[in-house]
Amino acid sequence: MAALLAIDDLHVSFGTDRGRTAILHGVSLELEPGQTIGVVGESGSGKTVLVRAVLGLLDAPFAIDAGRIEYGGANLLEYGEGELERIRGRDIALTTPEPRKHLNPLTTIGDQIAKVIRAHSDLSKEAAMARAVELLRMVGIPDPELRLAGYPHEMSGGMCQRIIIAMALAHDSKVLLIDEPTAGLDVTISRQILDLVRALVHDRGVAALIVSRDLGVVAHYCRDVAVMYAGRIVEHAAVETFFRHPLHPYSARLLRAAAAARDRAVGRSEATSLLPPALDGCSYAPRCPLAETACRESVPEPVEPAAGRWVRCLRAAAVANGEVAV
Amino acid sequence: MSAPLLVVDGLVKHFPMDRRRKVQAVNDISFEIGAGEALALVGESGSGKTTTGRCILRLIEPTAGAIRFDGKDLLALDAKSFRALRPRIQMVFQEPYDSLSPRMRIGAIVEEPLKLAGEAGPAERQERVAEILDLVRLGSGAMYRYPHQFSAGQQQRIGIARALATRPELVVLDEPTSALDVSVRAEVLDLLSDLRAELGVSYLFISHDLTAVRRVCDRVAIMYLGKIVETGETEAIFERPLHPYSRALLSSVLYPDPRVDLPRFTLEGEIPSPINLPRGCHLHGRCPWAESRCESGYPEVEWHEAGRAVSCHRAREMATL
Repeated sequence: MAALLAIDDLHVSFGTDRGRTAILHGVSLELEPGQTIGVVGESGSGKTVLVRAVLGLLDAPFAIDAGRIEYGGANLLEYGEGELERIRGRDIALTTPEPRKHLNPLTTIGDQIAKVIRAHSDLSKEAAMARAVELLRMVGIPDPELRLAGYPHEMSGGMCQRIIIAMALAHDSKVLLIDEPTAGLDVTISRQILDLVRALVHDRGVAALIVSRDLGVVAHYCRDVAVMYAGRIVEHAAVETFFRHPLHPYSARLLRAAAAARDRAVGRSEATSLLPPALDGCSYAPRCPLAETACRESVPEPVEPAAGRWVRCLRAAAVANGEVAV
Repeated sequence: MSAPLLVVDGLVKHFPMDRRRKVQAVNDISFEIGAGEALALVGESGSGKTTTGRCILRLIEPTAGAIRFDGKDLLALDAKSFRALRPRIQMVFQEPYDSLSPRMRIGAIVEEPLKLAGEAGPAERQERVAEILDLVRLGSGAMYRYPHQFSAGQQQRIGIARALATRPELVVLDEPTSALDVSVRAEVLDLLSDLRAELGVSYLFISHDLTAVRRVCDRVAIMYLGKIVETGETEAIFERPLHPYSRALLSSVLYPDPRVDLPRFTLEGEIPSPINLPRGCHLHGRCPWAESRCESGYPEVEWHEAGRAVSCHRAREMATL
């Protein structure tokens, strides 16, 4: 199926007084209608920068240095602010893991949601308020009519998170970029929100990109997974095969860490998180048990050691053949 | 069996809002922690778990109930006697960076509780700081640096070092890993397990992260709207939760494996407000098992198997189905 959104070789850097630091080193990702991709990786790996770049939401000192973001036959990187505003929240919607920062403390919840609704429709204020009630009900907020008159400070963090998600659902967007949907939410509420996203993907062919540190979310709510490490996608695979047999050593480590956190029978986690990524060669080499001299010399290009699985690792073929274990 | 290290008996904490209304955060809960034992207090936001932890350290004063530590009633102590006892009970906070002073070096941060405890001279304190930084695997060289020079996982190790400096017998950990990445989280959980084994310290582990609890704790107490609804051995509860709320909570956990999807046990609606607590069992409006007696009386604590207590009118009957 043709991609709805295609990120191609995206390079982003961050300026400091000592020069520019690369944040994303050529990230490519395609999203089809009805597909959910989970983007995983630790803090600082570039997940949030990636989704914000799609909607032109990176401000200086961030800069997009190269790449294309294709949507609807156009390159979004060539769009001006006015053109971007027309698609933000309507075609492509984004949720943020810091809901309080993105809600206006001085305006009621109802006015804020109505504003989002009216930005891309000619509904009256009353009709927008009625739609707001419907959206709040969808994300499981009790007594939505009463909540409309409330202010963000009167709501819990989880409630604010659900309000942000409600806003992202306002326009039946074709693409949902969901950044850390479960951060700060209790498990039962998280499941409710994720079930809602799954229904939109299944029933309306929405394409969703879910950024999450929680591998449980990826395992149960995504079809594919992209693992990010230090600004690169190091492994991209279907969820089913990925969890059974990860090929990149970093993916394997992530899965072991996640399994360890639930079960004391699983061996101890390796204490290597204190080592920073390398600047030359494979960025994971300092932490990698399989690293060889060649790994420190050049950045591995993506290879396809098994059908449909892309890995940036010189040892990937050996791992896929079972010659070495990760 | 020797006397438990901590006994919480009938703890109540209500926050007044105005003349008529109050937030009923903790409503008559009781539990014990033995020496060297790790007890988890789990529940969703608003369940009262953090308030309970804060009451134990007297960061807030309970409305009613007793808290006995090593046989002494903490609430009966005057400020001076409580301060003398404080080095034996410490706390680790949720946000590693926010709980460290950005303008103090790590050495001074870890030394502060030793100073407050009036412990030894500067030289001995320095030695203790170096020793404790080694213990949390940061190395004594960390003492000359500032909090912002460390990653979130390292900052949480500093928070743990500060809590352990005075050789406490009990550490209250309030969501110690929820701000951390998955790989770092596993390392910090392992560190907490190691330290307990090495030092024999007891933990009250407050968390909504059920997978973390399963890795670190011996026993679990599950809270809902200021009440403990079920307590038991960790594995027994995870294998077979008996209270309907425990079932719902545990069946919502997403295991990082697409093949493990638990059958969902779903509750209707939302958690009621702790300002207007439901009559009878707090769960009755959402519970698929509820019958008329659940609406009238709060269920007594019933002991099931060894160490397993449940507050539910129908738990025994439903357990056999």
